[in-house]
Amino acid sequence: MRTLWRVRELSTVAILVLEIAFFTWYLWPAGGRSHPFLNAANGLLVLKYSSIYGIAAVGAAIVIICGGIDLAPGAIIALSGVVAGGLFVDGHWGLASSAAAGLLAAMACGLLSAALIVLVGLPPFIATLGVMGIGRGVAFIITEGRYFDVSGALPPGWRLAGIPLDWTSPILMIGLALAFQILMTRFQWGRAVFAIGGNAVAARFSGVSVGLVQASVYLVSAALAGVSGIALTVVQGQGKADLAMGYELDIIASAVVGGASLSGGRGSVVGAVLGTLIFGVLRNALPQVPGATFYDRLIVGLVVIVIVVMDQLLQRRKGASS
Amino acid sequence: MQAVAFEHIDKSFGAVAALRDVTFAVAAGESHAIVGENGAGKSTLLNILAGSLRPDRGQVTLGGTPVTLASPRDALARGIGLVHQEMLAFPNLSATANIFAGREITGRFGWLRESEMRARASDLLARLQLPISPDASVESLPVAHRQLLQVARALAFDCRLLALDEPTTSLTAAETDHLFRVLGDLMRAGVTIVYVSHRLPDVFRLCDRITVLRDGRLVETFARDAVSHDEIVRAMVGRSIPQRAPAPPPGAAGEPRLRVSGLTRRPCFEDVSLAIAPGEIVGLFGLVGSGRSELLETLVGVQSADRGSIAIDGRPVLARSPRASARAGVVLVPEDRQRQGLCFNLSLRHNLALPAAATRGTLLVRDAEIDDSEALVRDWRIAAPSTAITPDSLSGGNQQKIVLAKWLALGPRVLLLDEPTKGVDVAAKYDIHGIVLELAARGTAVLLVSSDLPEVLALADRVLVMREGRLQGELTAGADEESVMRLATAPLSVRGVRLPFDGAQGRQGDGGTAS
Amino acid sequence: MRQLGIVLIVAAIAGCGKAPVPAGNGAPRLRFAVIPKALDIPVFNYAKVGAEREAAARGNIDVIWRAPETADQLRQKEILESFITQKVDGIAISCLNGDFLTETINRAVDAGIPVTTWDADAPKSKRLAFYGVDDLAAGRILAEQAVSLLGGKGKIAIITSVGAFNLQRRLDGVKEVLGRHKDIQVVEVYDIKEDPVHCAEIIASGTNRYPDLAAWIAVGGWPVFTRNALDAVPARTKVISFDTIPPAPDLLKAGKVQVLLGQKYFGWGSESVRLLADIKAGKMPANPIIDSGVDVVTAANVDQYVIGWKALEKP
Repeated sequence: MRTLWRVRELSTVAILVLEIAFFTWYLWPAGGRSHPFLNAANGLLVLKYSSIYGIAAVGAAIVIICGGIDLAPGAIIALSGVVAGGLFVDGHWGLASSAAAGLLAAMACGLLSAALIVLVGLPPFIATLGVMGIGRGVAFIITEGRYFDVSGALPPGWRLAGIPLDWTSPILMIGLALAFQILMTRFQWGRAVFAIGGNAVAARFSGVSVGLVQASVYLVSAALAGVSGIALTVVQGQGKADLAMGYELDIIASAVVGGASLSGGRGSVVGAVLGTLIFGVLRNALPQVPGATFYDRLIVGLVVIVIVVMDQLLQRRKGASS
Repeated sequence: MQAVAFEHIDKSFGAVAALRDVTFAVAAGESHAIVGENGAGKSTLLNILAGSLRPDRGQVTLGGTPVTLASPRDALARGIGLVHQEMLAFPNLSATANIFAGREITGRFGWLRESEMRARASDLLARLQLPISPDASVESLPVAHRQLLQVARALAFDCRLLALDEPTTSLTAAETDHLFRVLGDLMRAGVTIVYVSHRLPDVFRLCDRITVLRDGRLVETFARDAVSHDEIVRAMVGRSIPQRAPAPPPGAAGEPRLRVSGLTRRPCFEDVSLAIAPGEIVGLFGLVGSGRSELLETLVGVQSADRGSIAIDGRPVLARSPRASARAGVVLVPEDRQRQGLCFNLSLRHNLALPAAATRGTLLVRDAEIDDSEALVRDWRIAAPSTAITPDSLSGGNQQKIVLAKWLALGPRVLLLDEPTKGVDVAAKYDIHGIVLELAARGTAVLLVSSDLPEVLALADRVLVMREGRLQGELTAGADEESVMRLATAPLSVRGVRLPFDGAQGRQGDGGTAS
Repeated sequence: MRQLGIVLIVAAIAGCGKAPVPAGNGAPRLRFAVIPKALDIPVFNYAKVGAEREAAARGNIDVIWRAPETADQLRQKEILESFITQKVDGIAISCLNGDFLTETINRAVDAGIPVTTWDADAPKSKRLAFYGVDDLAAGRILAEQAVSLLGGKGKIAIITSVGAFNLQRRLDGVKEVLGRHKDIQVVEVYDIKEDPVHCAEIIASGTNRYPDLAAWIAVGGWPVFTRNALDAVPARTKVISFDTIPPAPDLLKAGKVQVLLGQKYFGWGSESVRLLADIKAGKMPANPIIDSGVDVVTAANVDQYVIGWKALEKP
């Protein structure tokens, strides 16, 4: 049981469960009204909005584990949505091909990040900051401040493969998280990512193609942000250039809360998704706490600090006792 | 039969020629040492052997056939394993993952065969008598275990030639014994060993033949039985270095320069009392984990003591910080020059000026700093092209001289040394020894912590032995290695017999066999 | 250990919560969500004052004032949706992007929650009422004031923020009127992205670029939200701006701005609460579009305006 507790993801799940339990108790309605927080519709709401961050957080966690950082996801979410939306609405392409084109646009950004970091040797922070600006800028140039009305071009009540629209993003998020968790823990590529994050020099000496693997993680991160953006556009119904502004910080915070260490070599994809849910629940429940209107940012900031400090202490205790 | 031969190898880095026309052969199944001062080209040669560097000219042959080692992976595939000097371990992965990193056993699409790797890892760990679990997190392992894990890595894939680069720098005597036992087993199984080291006693102990490099050229290859320690040193250095006799102990003269009474800091050390007269060199010996470095750190103020007192020349001193201690005249040359000794982002002249400026509280950077630093570099014979470069291009010995020089510029009254010649080449080591002796002759009190027993015995007037945080005893100059070792590994009065190998982290269960 | 920390933190915010006020007259308590565009847009603070005053006067209404910290359409939509799942009794919202929220508003109305809009409408949705200015007409008034100040000729620069429907309508009104005067030239339309600081930058750089500018027209009050945004404007350039909230009247008295168009800020809140309360009581508004009208404030009537303002501001 002790070793099970060491599994980082389990303690993140514990926080999430505790959080939900707390708000369920605190927001218990007076006078026989239905519970505003603990109901199915609200749960779906949390999942739906968290998955915007969650899908991209999978990629962010992988990049951080590899020892890098990616600031471009927010811009890529917007860009891929704009490209897909524009081609679908104005260009009258099919939905599948528009989505593919949006994904390609995202991966072009990822390729740019990879080239700047691996070939030119720029620090990842600077390189992805630049790509963020370029991506967001291109999105604005394409839309010129307007937006593409995707929901208008889709038949009402349209479903993706029979799944109601609201469920699409959460299912994508969970599916991608599980798929990448397996890739990271059970496949050589994932092992190489962890190795490079733990000691890039040793990895090179061990024969790992460090440059190739590093490039691949930025491509993956961009592709996942692209998936998030396309899903967002289809589900929310609009391809807009100013969506997801500043989301990269929340995405990185989710990955860190889920166990990723910014010094590389540690982290978990599933943990990152759990991290987004922790924030998603907070974002959903805080508005329902009377008087807490202006305390949002403060509480989120405190929560991040508390979780990370606890994590550091646990790591130190674990290291000292063995 | 030759395991590997180098023929007319040339390698330059820009204007610096690291290797010039090096030709020699290593016989199959022998253990062959490569020795030389820093800058002699040993690491470059090893890197060429390991496939991470390619020679500008010349040929490497394996088993008689010329080969081109295109990459580390290539060399590994050909059966060449390298145990690096820098700890190339992955702290975030398990022992098994470390052993197989980069060359995992995989199925389709790179699916990892975890159980197979675990089983192989278990076998290797047992073969090397490493008492750790294949799932152990490497981060928490002591240095000695990590080193052996590197050997396990090299052995994981049918290694026919094992090259080791300074493997014993961070090991205690007992851990070195263990490593040599393992290497002996490997040699008996037919593995060729190429061994690069500064420690001539180890080289003489392990190796059949010794190749000496100097300034990138081959000097000569000797058979171990046909050559003496001094001849090797002469070949390495190109000049004769006389063994310095220790200075005669000064007469007792009133108040000791440094007096420590009942110093305690749990859980590292307890109730330590000692006194050092001006001009005296006191050696402090102990195994890893005995608390020596922690004692020095407390004396200089990096950590504060729970109980006890420190007095300099009779005046009590409160060691609140290294800065306060430096002002009181106590300085420490730390153990880990990479992390505690130098600022690698600053130039040499800034590093040299730093303690003086910091402790004097000067606000402005003085122009005289440049001249001062150049004078220091000259006086200490530090091989650096200029004082504007950063320390990372200097050899270990030169880096250590910088650390010493910057502290001695303050003219301290008490000098604390923690492993001053670790990872330092022979010539630099003798230079440093000479400086310490000179300082003592001029009246500085010196407390020397070292795992190099010959060094301690050569320099110190008295030797104190520490074990598990307590002073076990004292021996005078003229003591031999055996009696010191006996004190350092003797059973404690309260607990039972402890095996020396796991003495440091003895709290986890013993898995080792009696040595 | 970590769980304990989380519990402590969240328990701390629990302390911030206010206990709900018990109903005074035995009528059931109603919870109305009033959602401005964002929490950092100063004009809306007065709507909050008005809403809470009306709620207090009626006695059985709780106003939940909630919005994203900065203008983020996704977050506003998320907040709207969360009020639907919380099953509040009424929603009054100023839409960052009416079309984006249309489908969600319809869902709320279908679920039995009455929705009204204020300040910025979602015209295609099923919202039951809109209270605000007729933006097109207001834009026309802005432009007419400018034309008369300039004597019918000169170069004009317009400041707006792209995206919100109401601002677009005002802009249309301005352009319509200016288009009728051949001697008026619109040199540029600046988008300042709802950021008053950016607005100050634009005014400074615009003044540099067009030294002979005759007037600035702002379809939103960004130039007058801060005291020094208009410092770069020379005396000969006139400023005609939307919004009269402080410190705008002071700026007008100091001569930095010549004409201000005031909306019914307190009314946004109080009227929305009143409308929702009436709807819950079964009284539907006669006309879904309720024009609040604008106040034209110049040097001539600014003092009276300020007196009237202070009266409304008292809780």
